[in-house]
Amino acid sequence: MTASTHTEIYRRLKGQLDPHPPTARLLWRARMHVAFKRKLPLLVLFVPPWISGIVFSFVVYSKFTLEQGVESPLTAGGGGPMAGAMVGAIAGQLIQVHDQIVMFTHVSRVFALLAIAWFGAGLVCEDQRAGAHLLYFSRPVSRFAYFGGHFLTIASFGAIVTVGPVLLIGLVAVFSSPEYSFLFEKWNVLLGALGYAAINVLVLSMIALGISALSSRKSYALAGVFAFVLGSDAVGAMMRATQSDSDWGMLGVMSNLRRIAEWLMSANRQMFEWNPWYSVAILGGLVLGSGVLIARRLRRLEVVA
Amino acid sequence: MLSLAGLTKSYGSVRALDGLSVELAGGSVGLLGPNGAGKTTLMKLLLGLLEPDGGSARILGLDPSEPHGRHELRRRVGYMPEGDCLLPGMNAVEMVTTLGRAIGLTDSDAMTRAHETLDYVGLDEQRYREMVSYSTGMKQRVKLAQALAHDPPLLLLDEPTNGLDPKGRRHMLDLVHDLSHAQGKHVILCSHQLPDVERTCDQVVVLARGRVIESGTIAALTRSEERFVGLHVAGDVAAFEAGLTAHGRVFSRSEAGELRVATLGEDADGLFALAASCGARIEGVEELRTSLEDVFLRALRSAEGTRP
Repeated sequence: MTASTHTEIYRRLKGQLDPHPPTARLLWRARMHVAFKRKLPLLVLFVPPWISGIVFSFVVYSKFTLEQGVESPLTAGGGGPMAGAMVGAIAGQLIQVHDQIVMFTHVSRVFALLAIAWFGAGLVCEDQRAGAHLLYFSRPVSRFAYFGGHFLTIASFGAIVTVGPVLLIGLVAVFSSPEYSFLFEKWNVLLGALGYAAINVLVLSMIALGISALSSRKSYALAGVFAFVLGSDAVGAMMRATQSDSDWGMLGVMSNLRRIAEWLMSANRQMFEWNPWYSVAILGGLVLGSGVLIARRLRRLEVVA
Repeated sequence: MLSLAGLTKSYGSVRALDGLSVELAGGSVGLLGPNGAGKTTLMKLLLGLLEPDGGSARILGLDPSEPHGRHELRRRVGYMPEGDCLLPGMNAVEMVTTLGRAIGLTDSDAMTRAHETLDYVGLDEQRYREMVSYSTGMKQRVKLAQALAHDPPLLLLDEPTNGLDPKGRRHMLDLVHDLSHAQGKHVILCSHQLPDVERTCDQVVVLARGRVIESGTIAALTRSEERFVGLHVAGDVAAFEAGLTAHGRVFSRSEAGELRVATLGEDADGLFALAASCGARIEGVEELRTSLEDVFLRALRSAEGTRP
């Protein structure tokens, strides 16, 4: 052909190809880049959980500082009834902070659901609608890497609204407690909160990806995620009320997540009392089922044009 | 470049490829066939997206049914799929860059290549716009650009001129021709548009019912002994057509009503006699050059066993 401008000339590649590019990470980067282009959803979905996190952090901070004497009993040394009373007061503060963290994780479930549903529901179905899967799978992108890239994307958004604020509250609790006593006395709560945040993100991400893989449009997938998660809880709550048996709560995804949160963080006040391993089994089954569904769907996407 | 031996692939009871065998040295190859002939299945097999039930395939010396071969193959093939294929939410630069990275280019190389290939396909400032607002022609160009991002030796182009206006189609064909004839790329062009194949390819492979029913260079195939005449017939045309069939003549009817009849190397006198005996009369005769369309139709008829 004749070049009509100086640019329409074919140029050879001068660089080298990486024999094993980290495709999952590349896909994750690309999807995050696209998601961060639109600022309004980020503002709407990320600001409230972080404001809540900051508010809870402030409450935690004030529990330690406002109710605490100027001198820490641990540094003051000595004994006597005064010191004993202060140790008791600190123990009370730790319990209150513990409760605050548990309460935040309950609140963060809703934020996680909103963020994961919004950013995750469209991932697979929009790719399918746009034909992007054909472009990915004609390259050395395996189904596992494709899934990994999408899962990392959705999990990142979930982590921003759950893990991030929990870390903030935990750090505030550690640094504002006398002699980092929260870290030494309640380390299991911090670990539990982080572990719960990870489980929360895993479960909701897999459900969102599974429903996205089954849907033809983002709007359908979004409705599907909310219908499945909130619907299951609505049915569970209805059965609990009509049967007067709290174990019916096991029907709900969010109720199971709450049970696991209470268990992992050894909550002082527990709403549900069934064996937490039932919840682990139910949510594990959901994750597994979603995984199988996604794997089958991705195989189909890889092959069917 | 391509060596297929006894390739079979079935979907349940439907046999998409039925012992397909062909050897191609390289260059530009048009892959032709009616719907359901097995073209798409073959494309997927060439990319290693499907595993054959039987037979063997080697593309660029690599076996797509073996994991290492499949991985290497996808790095050496540029695939331009049919229809709209975009990465949602991206502009053309981001899409070509992302896909370039996914194939192993570094970030800076991917960005450089994105601009070079978009320059080549003639997408100017529009490359920074989100692709949902692109015309079909622009989308086709971006698809070609992403296939070229890693400068592959083999291009698989699936209906690259679909939905293009005449100007866009000419531009796309010019690009394909340039890639295959000036840039030394092997090109496998899958198209329903026979003139597109005739214009850009040197060889064709015609598929029907999962088999190769014709293959060779276009020059050799259109230089066949079988020549055609165009006849304007009046009178009892149906009887004349029945007579042609009875005498083993290959013929087809154009949209304008003209009959295209194979002369079997003879002159047209026999046709006049036949027409007269059938109560028809030939009002005009025109010698026709054997086109790729003739080759295609003849091959199809031959495969379907309609030739008496």
